[in-house]
Amino acid sequence: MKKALLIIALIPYAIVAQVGIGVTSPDEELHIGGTTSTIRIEALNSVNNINNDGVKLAPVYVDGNGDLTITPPNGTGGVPLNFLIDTPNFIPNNPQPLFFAGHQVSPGVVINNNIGDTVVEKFLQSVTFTVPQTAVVEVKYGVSVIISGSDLTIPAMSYITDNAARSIQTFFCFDINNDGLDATEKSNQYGQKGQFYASNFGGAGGYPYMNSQGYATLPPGTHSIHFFGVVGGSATNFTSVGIGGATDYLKMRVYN
Amino acid sequence: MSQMSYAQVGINTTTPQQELHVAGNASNVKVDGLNTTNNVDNLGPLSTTKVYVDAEGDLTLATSTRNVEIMYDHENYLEDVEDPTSIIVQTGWGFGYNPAGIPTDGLAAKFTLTKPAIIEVNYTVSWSIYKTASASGRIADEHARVVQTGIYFRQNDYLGPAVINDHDGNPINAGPWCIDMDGGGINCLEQAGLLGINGQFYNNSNAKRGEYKNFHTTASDYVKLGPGTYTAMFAVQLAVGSTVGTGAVRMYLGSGKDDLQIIAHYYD
Repeated sequence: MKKALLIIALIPYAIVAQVGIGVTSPDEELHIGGTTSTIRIEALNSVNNINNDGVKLAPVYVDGNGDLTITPPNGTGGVPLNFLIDTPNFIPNNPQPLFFAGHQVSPGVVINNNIGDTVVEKFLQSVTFTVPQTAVVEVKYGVSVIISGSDLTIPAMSYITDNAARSIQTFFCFDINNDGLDATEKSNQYGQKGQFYASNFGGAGGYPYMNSQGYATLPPGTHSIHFFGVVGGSATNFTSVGIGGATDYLKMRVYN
Repeated sequence: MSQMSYAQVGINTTTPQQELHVAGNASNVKVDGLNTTNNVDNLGPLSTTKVYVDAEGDLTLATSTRNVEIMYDHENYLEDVEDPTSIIVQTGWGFGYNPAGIPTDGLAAKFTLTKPAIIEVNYTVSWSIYKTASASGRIADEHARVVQTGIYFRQNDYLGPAVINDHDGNPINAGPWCIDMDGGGINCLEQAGLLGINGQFYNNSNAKRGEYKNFHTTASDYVKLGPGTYTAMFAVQLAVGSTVGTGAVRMYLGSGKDDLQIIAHYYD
């Protein structure tokens, strides 16, 4: 039977099946009637709660016990995370005293696929960053590539004109807590990007870009993101690839 | 009576653990002042509405605000033309971008931010490449070419000044980038902040049967922009190691379907 609690006595507590305030036939265990009715909870006001700044409205949540709270999800930082880490030109250009076709060549990090090699992988660059709370980290990156038939580390450059296809790949991994990239972390490869190159005459100059993205959920702490490059080709051919010699970009959006 | 005072109140419980404890596996609290009949900020019976507390600690609703919003979405962003507005001239080493393509929506191809946001740009842009429009007009010199695309913003409509810096005052992607290099590859005619740069190679040896159209370049990037009205535009370069003996090579941007999405992630 529904009861309406309309007459009050000063007792420590009351127990009833349903309570109506301003309403005689409550529809829920607690039903506050009235067209402008609300509930005031002083523990959530701006005087008593640091998550209420007294200016902006504070969103209300329930915690694991069903208690109303204005502490946001994933911590006590005050507000949910949503920020951008922008690391422009994150791979050093590594300019060299090398001019080719009238332009100075900056190879970045060079990966040589020597005679006898078919696939060569090399670490490119790492960037350290901090995540204040458990959060999704969304990575978008673009890196430049330059391709040469001569060893860019000498430095030397020439067009590849043997009409044999080469593959170029990039990817990244996360080093959780920035304590060294272990085998498990290295095996989780994100943002794979690949393309091929082949030319019979002339070859391509300039710096084409490789662009990809990936997501990961990371715990609070200081971590690092590690980029790798891979160059594939026939064991009978030599290929020298410079990655990051032009202006690269790395964006990490952190949110929860 | 209209007023009461308890130390603690339990509903369906004799041992309240908070000042007001509503017990029961299916228990709930109803506040008529927050329902759709009485409160214009309630989004109605088909949706839930976020609840806030104000400075006094009173439960209240507010005009719904989004954390993420699609600002612009088009399935064929650029006009499907192959004319001077979409052409890209082949350069040698790859020293120059040039602007290309006119939005299908023309001067209306813009979006307005009322507050700062992290802008996410996702695009797929089409291109075709050939020497002449004849049946044997494909490029067949077996030279590898780089086709590279990027996106930038102009203030207001597509005729407005280019945006170089982000909302924090930093040059976008370590720019400024030259988006309009003159034919000699020496003088930059216009600068902007270039985003979502991506490239791929093209090579062909059959003048009659090589594919020359419906290629697409895809990229995604972020930039922080402040309040204002913006229009997205493209800059492109077509590069080859040496132009000697290659003849006139044309590339047109936007000749097929182009997909563009501009998404605002509000962070404040």
